[in-house]
Amino acid sequence: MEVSNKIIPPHLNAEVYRTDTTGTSTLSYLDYIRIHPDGTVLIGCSELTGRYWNGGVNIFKNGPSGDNFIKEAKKNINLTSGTADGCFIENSNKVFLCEDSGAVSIWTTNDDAWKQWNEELSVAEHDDAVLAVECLSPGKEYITAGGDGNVKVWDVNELLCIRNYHSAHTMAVNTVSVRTKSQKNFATGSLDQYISLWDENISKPVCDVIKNDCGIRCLRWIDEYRLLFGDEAGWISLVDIRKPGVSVKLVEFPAAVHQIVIQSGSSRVAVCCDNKTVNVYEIPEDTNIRNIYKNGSMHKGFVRGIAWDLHDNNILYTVGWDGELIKHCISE
Amino acid sequence: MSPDISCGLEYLITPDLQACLTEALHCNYSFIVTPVVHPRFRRPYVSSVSTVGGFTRSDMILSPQDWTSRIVAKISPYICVDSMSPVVRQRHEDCLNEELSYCRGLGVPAIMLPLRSSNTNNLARILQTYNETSHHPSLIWASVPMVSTRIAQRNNQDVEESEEAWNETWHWWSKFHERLDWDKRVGVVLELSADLPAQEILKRWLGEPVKAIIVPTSIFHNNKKGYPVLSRAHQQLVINMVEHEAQVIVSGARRSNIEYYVQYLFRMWQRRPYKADDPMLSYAKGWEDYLQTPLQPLADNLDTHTYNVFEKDPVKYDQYQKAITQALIDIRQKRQVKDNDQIVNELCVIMVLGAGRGPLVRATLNAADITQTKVKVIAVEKNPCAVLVLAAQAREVWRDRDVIVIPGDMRQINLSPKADIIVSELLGSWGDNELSPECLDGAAGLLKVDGISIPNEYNSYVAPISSARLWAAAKAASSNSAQQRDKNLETLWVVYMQNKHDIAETKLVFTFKHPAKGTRDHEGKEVTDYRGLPLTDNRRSAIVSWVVKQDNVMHGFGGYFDCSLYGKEMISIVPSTHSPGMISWFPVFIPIKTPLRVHKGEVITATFWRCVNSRRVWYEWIVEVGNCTTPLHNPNGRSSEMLL
Repeated sequence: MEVSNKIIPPHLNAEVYRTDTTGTSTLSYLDYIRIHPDGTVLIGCSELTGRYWNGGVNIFKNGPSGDNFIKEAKKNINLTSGTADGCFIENSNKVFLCEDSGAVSIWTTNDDAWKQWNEELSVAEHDDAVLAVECLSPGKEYITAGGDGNVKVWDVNELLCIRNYHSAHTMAVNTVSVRTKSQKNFATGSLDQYISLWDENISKPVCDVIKNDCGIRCLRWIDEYRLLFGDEAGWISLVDIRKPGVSVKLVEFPAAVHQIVIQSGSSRVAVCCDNKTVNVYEIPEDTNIRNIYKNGSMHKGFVRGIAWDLHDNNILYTVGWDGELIKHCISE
Repeated sequence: MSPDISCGLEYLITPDLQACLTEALHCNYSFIVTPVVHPRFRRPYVSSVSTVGGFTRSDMILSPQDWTSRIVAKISPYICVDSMSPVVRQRHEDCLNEELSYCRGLGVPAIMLPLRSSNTNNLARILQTYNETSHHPSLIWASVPMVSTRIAQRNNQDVEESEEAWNETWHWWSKFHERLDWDKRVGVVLELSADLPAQEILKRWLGEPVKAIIVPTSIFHNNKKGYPVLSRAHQQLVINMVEHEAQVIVSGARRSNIEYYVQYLFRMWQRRPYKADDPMLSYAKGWEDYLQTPLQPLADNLDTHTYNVFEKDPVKYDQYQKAITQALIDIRQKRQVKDNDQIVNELCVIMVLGAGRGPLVRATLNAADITQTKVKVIAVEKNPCAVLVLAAQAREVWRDRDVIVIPGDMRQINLSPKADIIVSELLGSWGDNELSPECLDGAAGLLKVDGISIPNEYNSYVAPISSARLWAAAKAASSNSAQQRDKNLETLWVVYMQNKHDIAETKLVFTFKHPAKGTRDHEGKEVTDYRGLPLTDNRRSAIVSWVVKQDNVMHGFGGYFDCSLYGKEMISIVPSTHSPGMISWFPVFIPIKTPLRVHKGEVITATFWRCVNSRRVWYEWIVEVGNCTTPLHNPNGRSSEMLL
């Protein structure tokens, strides 16, 4: 071990700490993972407990394998604040990032040798962290949800906010999901306990789908009418927008449900909570839900992001606050 | 009133805390509001199981002075300890306690947390425990929006029209504060909205302990040059709030250079409409909402410094001088009617009762000069120290004038000749509360039968008020014992009231006239005492009622008086008729033991008694609203009394 060549007077310990920034910026908390159809992977990460609460993004080709993702590798994009969500904009060389500072930004890369990512546009209009982004119309319109309770629709060509649902909710909006087979309807879920249904052409909510008994953390459409949502108390529930106000509790977890991701074209749903466990369920037409996979040992920290493999139905990827990208094989 | 405006900057997130603080201070903000734990950092919190690694950054990156003077800590926004779900309540309670105890360790001046409904029982309970278990607890700043957008949206009305939406958030705060027993360590932070409510609702907020207002960057407009500015209505509101000692927090997305916001606020404050040149404002500076026990000049002798302060009133003695002048003119005219030169030129005897260090003697001599009347001035004073000062003046500066100093209690001396005019200044902040009626009735024998008393009448007034601040201050004043606290809420307090809101208008309570008529017996004959003076009855009772105009909480009354000196000459501290520039009296705050929640349309009925026995005088009072009633305050004068 190298011996420090400087002797620090012990009584100046605190003062030295204030200026010694050599051991910081590890960005060890992975928050989300998105996979492009061409195999490009987007992984967003943040530093949440260190000296600097900044963020970063890794983007790499050829699928999410352990060889392509190296924890300690330099980030492709560095952000001054953390990032809670992000997505590709149609092509795999263009991404939309949500930042904790309230900014949204668009980054692109040229196919040159250096693979440099450059910030094309950045706009700070959310009055708190941007927590989620979803695509309303591919390559054109994207919806963001913020900690400020606002929901915004963006034209990504100009990065112009074309609709602002001011005070859509009275607390942080954690989640937004575009209705199946629709390019104008979407649902939002908030810590204010409400799930609201919106139409891009109407400035007020179409309706409140439900008022839950605690905050909503995540929601996804199963089909055109049914919404699956996870809440602060650790329940996953189902609500049909044709019967607003009535929800069916499906399964309870020992911690708040953080994220649910439905496999496209199937009835499988992957779930992660404010803990280390990954679960996969099968949802049949009725309200019975069946666990087909459970793993609580591969992650050493909270699991945050989930993505299904686009080719192999039995493969699921997760990222977590332990900094790991994990591949799960789901076989019944 | 604070000389300056104190602005803070709220950071949605502080990626580099040192840099953020430096940036804000560089732009002339005084403090920053920041989360102390990353708002997205969820953590397993099980008490008794500690985890290595920590849940936030090291506090050592800032100096202790920065933590204790420049940082307002924001509690994680997801925490909801009053959730309907029991598991959420429990988990979030653990998180909140962890953050509170972390803040306690940092010693931040204030902790900010949001209120989102009127259901805050658990939050209030946790904070009470926090306050109980901290030696130097940080202030709690509860933030509320000005309007409940959800109610406004649900009612499908324009925000401006929905009274319920504006009332709602005030109820959140008011009920929360009530649950904390109106603790003065707990204040409200009001987040301004783009639309503003009716004036009445804004005024109600001015009665609350608003520690800060949040001005979102979204309510600024850009002026022609592109700088952010506020609408006129918002400017006025910010100025009113700052005058009530609120700090200003700029918050939200950076729609402009953050330096521009604070520069604009400073400029707006400097250019605020100039307040009428009111000596009261400068005189009262520093005394806002500071409670004092009323003086008892009859029982205690005032010290020379107190005399010195009261003599400085530029208005009061001027009014007295005008009144005496008018009285001298009237006396002469009356004598002229009798058409007897001898009487016309007869000496006018003026007695100054309770002459103190002599300001009224001076006013009397001036009035005599103005009217060219020959006067004999007899200054009666019971305080030996003041008598000494009076005697010196009579000997030195008034040696050419006919001034006699008589030491003694005006109620007991007997002088001849009798006075044409007696002049006195024995009023307290609530009129008769320094026992002017008893003193002047006792001195009635000094006045000629058709003599003039200046003043000749005075009235006391009350208005029901809301002021958690005054109530909490009264409760906690001077001592911590529960017994004393009870007494404090049965006592009148002299205070320059600033942080209060009038629930209804000011109404008359008691009236006294001089010379007073004696009571009549069952035969209809005036009763006299052993000296042949009319036996007066200075007991009073009055029932006063008001209709409540908007929901509120009543903490007590503001008490005032007005006084007719002579003719049309008045002095008044009733807000609507206050003598401009008169500084001698602050109003009184009359608390009630249990604050009463009052609703629009209800009737507040208050009964006041002025009780007298041979040794002392005291007030009792009781308040009723709907089915609720307070206990009787100060029965038999157990907590406060004025000694005869």
